[in-house]
Amino acid sequence: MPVIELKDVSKLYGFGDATTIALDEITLRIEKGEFVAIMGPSGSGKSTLMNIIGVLDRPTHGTYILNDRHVARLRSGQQARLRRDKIGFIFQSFNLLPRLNVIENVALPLAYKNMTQVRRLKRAATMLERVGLGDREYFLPRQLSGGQLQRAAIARALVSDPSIIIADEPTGNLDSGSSRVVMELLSDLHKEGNTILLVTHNPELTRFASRVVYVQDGAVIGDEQSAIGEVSKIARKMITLLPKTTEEDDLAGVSALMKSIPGGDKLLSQARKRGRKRATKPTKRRRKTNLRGKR
Amino acid sequence: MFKGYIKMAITSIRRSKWRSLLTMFGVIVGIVSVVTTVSLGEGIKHQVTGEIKSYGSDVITIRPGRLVNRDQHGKVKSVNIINSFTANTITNADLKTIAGTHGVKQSVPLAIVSGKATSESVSDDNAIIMATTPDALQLINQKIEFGSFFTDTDRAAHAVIIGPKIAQDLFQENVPIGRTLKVRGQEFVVWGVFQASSSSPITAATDFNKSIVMPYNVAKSLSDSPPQISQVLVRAENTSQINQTIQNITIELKRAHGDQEDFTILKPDETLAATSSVVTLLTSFVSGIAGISLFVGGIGIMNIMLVSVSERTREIGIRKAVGATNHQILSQFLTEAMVLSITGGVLGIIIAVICSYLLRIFTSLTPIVTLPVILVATGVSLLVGIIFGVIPAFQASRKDPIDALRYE
Repeated sequence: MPVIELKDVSKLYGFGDATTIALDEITLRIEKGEFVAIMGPSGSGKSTLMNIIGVLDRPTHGTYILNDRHVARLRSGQQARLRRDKIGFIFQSFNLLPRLNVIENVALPLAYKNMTQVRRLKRAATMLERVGLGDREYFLPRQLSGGQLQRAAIARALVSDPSIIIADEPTGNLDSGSSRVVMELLSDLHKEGNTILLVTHNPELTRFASRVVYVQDGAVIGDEQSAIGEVSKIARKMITLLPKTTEEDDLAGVSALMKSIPGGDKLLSQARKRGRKRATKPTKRRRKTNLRGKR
Repeated sequence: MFKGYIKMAITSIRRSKWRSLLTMFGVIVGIVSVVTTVSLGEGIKHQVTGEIKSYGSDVITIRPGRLVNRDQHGKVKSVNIINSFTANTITNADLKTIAGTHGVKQSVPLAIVSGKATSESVSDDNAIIMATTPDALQLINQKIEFGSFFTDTDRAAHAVIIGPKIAQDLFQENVPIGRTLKVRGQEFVVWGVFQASSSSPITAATDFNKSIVMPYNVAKSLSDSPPQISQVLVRAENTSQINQTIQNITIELKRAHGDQEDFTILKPDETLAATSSVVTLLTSFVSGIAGISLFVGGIGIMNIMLVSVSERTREIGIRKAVGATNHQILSQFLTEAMVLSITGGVLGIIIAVICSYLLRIFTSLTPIVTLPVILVATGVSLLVGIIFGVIPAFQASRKDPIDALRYE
């Protein structure tokens, strides 16, 4: 029984000539207990995909079934309840409320569930204990380090016992030491049977994943099971293709690299094509880049 | 959950104390002015009631001019304030008519003598100089503290009874009996001093603290024109037949005035009604103006809530991402606006109560803050919060979670 089932899900922005296809008929099934890493360059649509899976956004076309429920048919109040009960978000920029202390932040999803304060705080305390922040309950977010903040955010994501945890670049703002702690925590959660969706740029992080989905131009172009502890092959390969700076001048450098890889020529021509395609969508790309650039 | 919203609202208000205080200021000013004016009005009504009672519940008042309009059942419909000051339609001859009417036991004119009173050293412009007949003492229900009132045998005596305030102003002593004062060039001897009585600043009744009372016959000799009769007090022979007596007087006076009803006969309780409807009118007028500041205060709340909503866009995004429904976000911000305005309202009520006490101490006004006034003020401030908080709260609730999360 899949936790998440996407069928031909598309997301379009704008209309007429200005239509931008953010997601192009994506079909994806995520089973319970999987640790899926979603990779792709910026502007590839992985954030849109994550928002749709996280019920923050609605697909333009296609069906999305979360825990046997057709999400698109739900009203906004029901969607909010679905987010509260079934989904735990972990953000790159932590997104804890700065004026609430750590335990109140962790208990926030429960506050919208009409749970009594005592039970709320008790449960939040258990979660904080679990992520190793039992002694930081009454600290304010600004008194914590980045790694501690992200662990608090993980506790918040876990507190309502969700069906799926969605982590959007959880280590993007962290140093390598804190990143390790956070990733190991996620890995532990996976081992305990949680379903985790990790959006990342970093191919190294695919070591922790049981499955890697590679998204580009709004479509899934690679999907493979990967052994835990190993960097996924596809991720390693694809990451080198990322047009990190401008398209044309990089291609020269990439071409040389590609030619040295067996079958590289074919990939290269694909990359060129995509590069040009991407260049025709500058607005969207800038927006996404800004997004990543914040903080 | 509602408790949670209130807690959230208090946290967020305390976070920016100054801003919240300034926001509340508009509501505070509005509530203070409304509550103070209304309680001033209440106080005046209360004083008037007290006065009328001391006038005697069986005393009919006849005033010149059409003071009130009545409906077909004889109930007072509206009051003409201006007429009571200008009309001069009751004459000397009318006094005899009234005295001779069937059912009238006593009748006493209260006439205004224009002019000012002077003692050897001081002159007093504020004194109300009145002329009346010896029976007046039984109808005006004033007590003589020192000395005595003039009697039937003193109709032509140049004697005056003065109020305690006049005694102080003109002679700087409490008992100036035997001293003289001048009105229109004629000398009068002070025969007595009234007991101090409480009085309100706006009333149809006369303030005897500031009065100088002389015999009516003497007043007639002061000038060529007879003194202007401002009211005639009448006591009926039989208290149970007041209405009959009033009708008799009306018929007699109308006949004397050529079938023209250019006078007003007020029953004891109607004197109160006439005064209190004037006060009510004034009070509602002033509190209407004060209500405008409440409106402005509400706009201040709306403004700050709009700023607050856009400042906290990211917070809204986070709350929505962890599962807050639109309705819950709306409730949160609406509660915040309500807490702001009701705190302002309560502060306003407290300040208004303090103001009322200060007014009691330092002026002759006696404002009364009643429980209904407090309840209404609280309700109104809550209403202001709801009316002006709904738009910002609605805006907050409609924010798109994805955009809100990106907001910096």
